[in-house]
Amino acid sequence: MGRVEPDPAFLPLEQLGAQMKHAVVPGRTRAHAEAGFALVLVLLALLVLAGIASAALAASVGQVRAATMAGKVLSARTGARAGLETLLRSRPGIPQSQVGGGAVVVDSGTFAHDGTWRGRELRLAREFHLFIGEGRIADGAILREARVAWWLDPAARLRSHGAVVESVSLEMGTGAEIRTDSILADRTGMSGCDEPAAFSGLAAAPLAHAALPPPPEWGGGADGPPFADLRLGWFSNQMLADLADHALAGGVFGTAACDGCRLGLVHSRGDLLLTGRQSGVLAVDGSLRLAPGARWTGLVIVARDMALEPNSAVVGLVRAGGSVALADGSMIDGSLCAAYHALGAAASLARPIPFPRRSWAGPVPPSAG
Amino acid sequence: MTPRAMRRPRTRHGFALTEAVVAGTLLLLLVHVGWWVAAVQGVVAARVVTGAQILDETRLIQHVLGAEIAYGQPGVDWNVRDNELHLRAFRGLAVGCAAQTSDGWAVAVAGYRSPDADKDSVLVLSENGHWSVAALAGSSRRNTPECHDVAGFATEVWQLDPPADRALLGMYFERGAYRFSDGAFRYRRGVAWQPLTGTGIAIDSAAISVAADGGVTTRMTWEGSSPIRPSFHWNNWGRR
Repeated sequence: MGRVEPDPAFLPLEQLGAQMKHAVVPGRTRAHAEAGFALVLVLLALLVLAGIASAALAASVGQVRAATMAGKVLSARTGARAGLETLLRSRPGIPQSQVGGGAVVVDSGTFAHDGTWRGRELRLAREFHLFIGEGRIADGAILREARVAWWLDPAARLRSHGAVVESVSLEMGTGAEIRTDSILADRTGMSGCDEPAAFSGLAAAPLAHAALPPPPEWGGGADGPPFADLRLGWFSNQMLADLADHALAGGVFGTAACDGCRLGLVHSRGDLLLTGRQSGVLAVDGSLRLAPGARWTGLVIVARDMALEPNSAVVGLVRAGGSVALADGSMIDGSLCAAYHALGAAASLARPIPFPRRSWAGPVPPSAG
Repeated sequence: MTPRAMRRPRTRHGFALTEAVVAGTLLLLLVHVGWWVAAVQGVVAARVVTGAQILDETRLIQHVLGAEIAYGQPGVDWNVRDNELHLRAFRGLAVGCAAQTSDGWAVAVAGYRSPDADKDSVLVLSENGHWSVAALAGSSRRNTPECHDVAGFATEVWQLDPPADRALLGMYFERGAYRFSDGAFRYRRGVAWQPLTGTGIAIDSAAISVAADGGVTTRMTWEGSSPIRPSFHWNNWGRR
């Protein structure tokens, strides 16, 4: 049986539809072909953009990581330094640590969002300390900074005194006296002093007068002009003025109401006439004169000359950059203990200070914690 | 007309050739555009990476200079001569032990590297408050009793030349110098200048000088194009 060709008038609907599509909308067929081409271009463009973006992302992630790490290190180091500053400002009093002891944590605190700091102290010598500040951000490495500080120790400070009076020259009037027989004696209202007695050369062999010691005990030396005229250890003239409990501009000083009490640190910027009876540490950036009947108990340091009028007295130790003249009937009663107690009572001096000229020490490597 | 005849008209033979030519041209165009875009991508990516490298190396230079002058004093520990920074490069800290030995100075030591007697000197603080320099003639690790117990510090015995009197503390250092030369930032210890960065720095633009307030001023420009500003200028200061 032969195949019967279908009558075109009776085509299946699918074929008819396809033919009509071709015949009626030829432009749509081209659009179909170009749609694939556009897609390839778009994909290619996306690929390119993705490549550039990934390179930029990798680079920026690396930069962000490096910058974040650098920022954390900087923050931790800044925290360590801030801790050191806090430590140096908040440690008043006489040092209690032992020479050669371990690094004791003496203070701690927080900073920034999640930073912590600790301060450690090492006592290198009687008056030299090393403060180590440690800063840390979260659980990161501990960054450390170290600073050398000088901290007055009354006993150690008096070790350099080789005589009751140290000056360029000494003039003694008739009946004037420098006593050396009660250097360590108890006096009214004043106990003895075992600590300086243990290692002071003055206690072992008391002298009435000696020349001024060389720098750094007296004079500028390598420390320079700030220490040239007046110094107490590594307290310069300016620092003594800043720390003084009584800062004077020279003139007359005589607080009669304070008979026998300790005034702490008295600093005079200019020549001073002392008229009362006081006690403490007296620093004069100029010349000092004690009026008749005046009396000072403690430590006296004078940039230039010192003169004692008749019947005036000093109980303690004297250091003067010029001459010391004792008029008739005046007296300097050498007392290591009076100077020691005066230094101990001068609260404004009992503080660590960054060692002048060079205090930062390092580098100290980071610690894992 | 049969449906088969309707689907395959006679004219389609010539049209296929045209299509092939057009398709080939388009393919060629596509390859060309792809090649060009890939090249652009490579250039852009390279610029991004170059920018990152510039930032990395500039940060390195800034960090190195800042760390090197941190503990030094201008004029004493470092100075600038002929566009070169000459310095005592401090590498660590030594703290004198309470108990001393007869054959040297017992210390607790920590630093970025171990002390080296072949190249190090020591800046020593004595109990009289005087800082002095001595050569490190020898060092040896030793368990010294009565020494400061600080994390990361090891005990050693040092021989100093000249021996230090009542030494309390020491900072050991090597002498070195930094400069920009031959396109790179370089460090010299001894005679050779070792590069610390790549060689992309415009040397005429790079300079190390003393800042007005006692720090170090550094100026530099990177060669070539980069997506970031290639010129840098900053100051470093020591601890104050």
